[in-house]
Amino acid sequence: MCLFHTFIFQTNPLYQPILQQVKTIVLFCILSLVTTTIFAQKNNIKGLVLDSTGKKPLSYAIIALIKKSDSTLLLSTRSLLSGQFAIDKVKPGNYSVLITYPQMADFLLDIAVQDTSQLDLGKIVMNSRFQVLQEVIVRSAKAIRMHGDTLKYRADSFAVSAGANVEELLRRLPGIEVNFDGSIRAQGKNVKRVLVDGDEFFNDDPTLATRYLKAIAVEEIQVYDQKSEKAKLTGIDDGEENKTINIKLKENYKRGLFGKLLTGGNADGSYNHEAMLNIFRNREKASAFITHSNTNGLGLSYNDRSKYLSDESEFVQDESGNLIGNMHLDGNYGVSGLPNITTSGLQYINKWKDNKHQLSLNHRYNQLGSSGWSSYNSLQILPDGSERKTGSYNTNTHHEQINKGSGSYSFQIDSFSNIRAYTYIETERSLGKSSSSQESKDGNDNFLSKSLQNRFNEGNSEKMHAALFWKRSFRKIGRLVSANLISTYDQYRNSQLSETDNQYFNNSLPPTLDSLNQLQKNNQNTRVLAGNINYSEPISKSILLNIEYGWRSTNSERNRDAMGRGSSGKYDSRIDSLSNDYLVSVHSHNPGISLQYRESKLTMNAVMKVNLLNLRQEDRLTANTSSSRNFTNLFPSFLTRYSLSRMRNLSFNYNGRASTPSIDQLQPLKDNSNPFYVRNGNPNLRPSFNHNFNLSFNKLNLKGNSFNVSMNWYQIRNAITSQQSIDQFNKTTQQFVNRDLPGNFSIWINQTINIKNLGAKNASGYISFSMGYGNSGSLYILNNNDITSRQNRWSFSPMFSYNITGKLNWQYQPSFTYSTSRSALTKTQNFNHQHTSSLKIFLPWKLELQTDVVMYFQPANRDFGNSRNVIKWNASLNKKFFKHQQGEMALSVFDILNQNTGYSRSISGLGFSESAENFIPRYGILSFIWNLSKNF
Amino acid sequence: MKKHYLTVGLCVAVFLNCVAQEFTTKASITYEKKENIQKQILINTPGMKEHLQNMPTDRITRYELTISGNKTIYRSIPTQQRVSNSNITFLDSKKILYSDYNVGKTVAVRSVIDEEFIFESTPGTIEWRIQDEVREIAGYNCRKAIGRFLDSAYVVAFYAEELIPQVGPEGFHGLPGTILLLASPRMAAVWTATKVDLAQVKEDEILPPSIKGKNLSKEELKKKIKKKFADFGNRELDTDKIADSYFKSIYFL
Repeated sequence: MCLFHTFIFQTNPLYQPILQQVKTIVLFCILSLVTTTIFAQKNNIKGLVLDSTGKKPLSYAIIALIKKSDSTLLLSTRSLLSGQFAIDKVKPGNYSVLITYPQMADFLLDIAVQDTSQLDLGKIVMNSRFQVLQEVIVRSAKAIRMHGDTLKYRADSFAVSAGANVEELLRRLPGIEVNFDGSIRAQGKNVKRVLVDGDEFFNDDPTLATRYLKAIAVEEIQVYDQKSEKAKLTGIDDGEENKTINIKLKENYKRGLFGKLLTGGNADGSYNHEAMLNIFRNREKASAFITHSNTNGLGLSYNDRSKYLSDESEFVQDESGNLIGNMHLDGNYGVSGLPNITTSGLQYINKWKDNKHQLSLNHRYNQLGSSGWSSYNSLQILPDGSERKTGSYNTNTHHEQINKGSGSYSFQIDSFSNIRAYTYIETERSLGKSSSSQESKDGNDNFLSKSLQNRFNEGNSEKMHAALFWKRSFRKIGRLVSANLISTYDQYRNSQLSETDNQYFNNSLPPTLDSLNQLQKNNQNTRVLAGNINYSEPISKSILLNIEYGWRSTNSERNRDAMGRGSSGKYDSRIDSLSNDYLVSVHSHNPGISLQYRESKLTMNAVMKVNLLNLRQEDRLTANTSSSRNFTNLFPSFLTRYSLSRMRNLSFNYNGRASTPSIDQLQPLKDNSNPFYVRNGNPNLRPSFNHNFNLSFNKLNLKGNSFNVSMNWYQIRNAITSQQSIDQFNKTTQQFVNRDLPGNFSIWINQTINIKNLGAKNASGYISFSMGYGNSGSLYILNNNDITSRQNRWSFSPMFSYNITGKLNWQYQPSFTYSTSRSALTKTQNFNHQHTSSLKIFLPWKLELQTDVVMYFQPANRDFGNSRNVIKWNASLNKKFFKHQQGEMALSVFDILNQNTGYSRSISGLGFSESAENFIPRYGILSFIWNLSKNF
Repeated sequence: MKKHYLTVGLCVAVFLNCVAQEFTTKASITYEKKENIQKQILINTPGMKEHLQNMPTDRITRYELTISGNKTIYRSIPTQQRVSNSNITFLDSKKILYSDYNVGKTVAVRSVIDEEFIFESTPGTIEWRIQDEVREIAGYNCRKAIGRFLDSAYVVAFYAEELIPQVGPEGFHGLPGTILLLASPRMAAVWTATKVDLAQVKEDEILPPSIKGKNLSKEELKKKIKKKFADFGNRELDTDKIADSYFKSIYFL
């Protein structure tokens, strides 16, 4: 450890306090030894109070001695200028020592005093963990307090306007930032989950809870780092943490209903309707919502995607035995065009018999229809210096329906064991039509190829998943056994009719024609059976051993029937060369061992996992040829975390991870759906290995200020890299090969500062700075040339927020990015800056004016001759009605300047590309909202 | 890389902004006492309800507490306000309380109806239980505590951590800071600090009061009050009970 500290000290001035602290501790120990020998007569309690940096003494801190028997105050004293305090001649008995200081969290520490006790409480760092005697409780009377690892905000202490939602409340809380799109950051880190009373609210979409729930219903907001599912099962901290916000509702709001009705539209046919109802009765909770809208613009934004398409996460093992969260996120958000979306959800949660039984049922329905166009232009530079230009135009219509149902039941068998069953069923139907035309040219604008394609798609899929989890703890703290069993069956069927006409040009020769007219029927069934057993045993108070064993078997049938148009005009003649029938199986065994050392401030964790994998592919069409490969992969990892104090943490991680080539990379199924893109297998692929180092420091305080630094370096050895070759007709052949990739380095710094009482009364604000630098290398293999390119990327994005309660909220977030890319073929640089700002003003007569603007500037550079500046400006005027402001009318105008173009462009080491899609131009919408709430 | 160190260092420097807290041992605090007269009467004589209709509910009086370390003087500020003709409301029209917690001595001057008394005593003991609630009073964040004295009477107090002296209005003391709000359900009264003056503290006025009066013991005072009330009382009032509660208020409050 010492070595480690010295290393850090030399490299970074940030960690200087650690050494100082060590020095002070030594000094103090000597000092206290001397003093205790002098006054060794009557009892005596003493200590030293320091501020949260652990360096400055706190004078005038209150040290109160409270009798344990009846919790009355015996006496109180103040710390001296030196931060020291002493209490003598205390009546023997059990006491709590309460140490308080304005603006700081309380300390409460239990002590037993005897006639001759000489208690030295040592250094007491306010706001930090302090463990000298068995029991420590940190308590506070403040609006913000730290309880264990949880930061708690008492909602009533933060004023919000009447009828405000939770999002508005979160904006008021120091240390929490809410972005324009509703995403939340707490202490500089992204919040991944928002829970309501400890339960997921519909799903992992934070905005459903924060936008629909009313601030008035909230008692407390809790912010904490949730351990990974793996850590919960094994008790071993794997360093993976998700910032989580839990919204604790007031007792009287747990019996009642609240909901929202929204209807909006305009004369041009845009509409947006939403209805939402929640009913709570003690531990029983039922929620329902339905939305119907065609104003979601180009594809779906991140939020909409999770709002409309994701569902309750389910934990499954991947092939290397790692537990991963499966979001059931469907790929349909990539559909271009203007979707109209109908979505509905039903949820029922109940807990009974002292929460021993817990039942959760979910149903989601999504219907999505869209039609649109997109166009794409790119320029690619080949290693021989020649150029390839590609242009394409695509129109599509798409329709799909998804039904998802899930249920989970957990039962606390006794105080030690717990069992949980989970099922998930999904059906999906989709229908689509697309047509595209593509042209490619060489550098002298001579045509290389032309292609026209029409496609009709029809697909349906069914998924059935079931899982069983069992966990048992023992009287011995830390001993834990857990097991899980997962079985899934997924079926996917798809028919695709393609009509393709290709033309290849070769100098002066007449063009070669090639047309394809076929029906493809794809059928894929996958069965997975996986299990995992975990055993944790504490070897000593601070050492925990964990042994695990997991296995997984996947059997998959994939077949494709390609049918050509027969003489009868029907698709009934089978094309054998394009049809296939494969049986793919993957079996893996995953033993693992991990060791955790943990004392009050230091956590160290070493893990070694082994993955024994067998891949088998059988071609059932061509005389049962089969191939089989065995792999042995290692997954070492190492984690250290050091708490400098309760609110300051330093951590270092190393993660080694092997990745096995997939069946598709070793030997892809034959596929000719795109004549200009052919994939070949490489049976000689070896597993790749990824080394990842991370060093991070974070600090926060109760005022909401936080500081985070994170440095990351990784390199992939034997990376499975795509190799492409482009022929004279711009036809691409692709294959995977092993290569060592260049290393990647990145650093990210975030600092948030809260400012209270800015000028006006009730005014507050915060400033947050994020800076990032990244240096990454990438490798392109084109026509057998390895082209290494290096990218440098600097970014700076501060954020300013200013609030006056009941008057205005203002937020401004610029972001500046400068990137360079350098390879043997190209050298590019790019600068862009974006400014987002939102303003909400509370006017008289219950009127609210809200406006936000997004300005995107990309100055002209060598690669793009014209600068690209887009200003998107939206505004809405709201009027609230009725006594409790349940009614609301809103007039909103989107893209006032009509600058939305649906255009984007990007640069890579081998050229650049630009694309355009259809979009919704300026529109206005008039909506009526009715919020209802009732207690019973 | 040097650039990065500079940035990191800069961030740390920005971050290390510490809170400067003002602590003080001298102050002059003005309290406003708000009593619910109707409630007070009802507590003592429940049968009076119909007589109360013409009576104002609240009466407001003001006091000044001058503090220097552990010595305080608490004096009523004379008001012109004429509230009611009721013979109960003018009872605590003049009040001086000198306390020296260093030596454990209090000297009080009280006017009981038409006579002034002076008596010496020791500060009473109060059992405090510190609570979690925090409220802002006169610009100070104050923490709640519940006090119990004379075995059964309860008060609620809010004390400021920034004001070091362990004192408060009406002789209440012993909390880790100065009490800025005091509420007595039994007296239906609330004392709230309206002004905390740290600049002009008349320390030289913190002296034991000396008036021409009888220095009485606890028991003597109790008897005297009972007699006074009996002389003044009418049939509808339980004068014994009122005298008893008044004694309690004089002796401690």
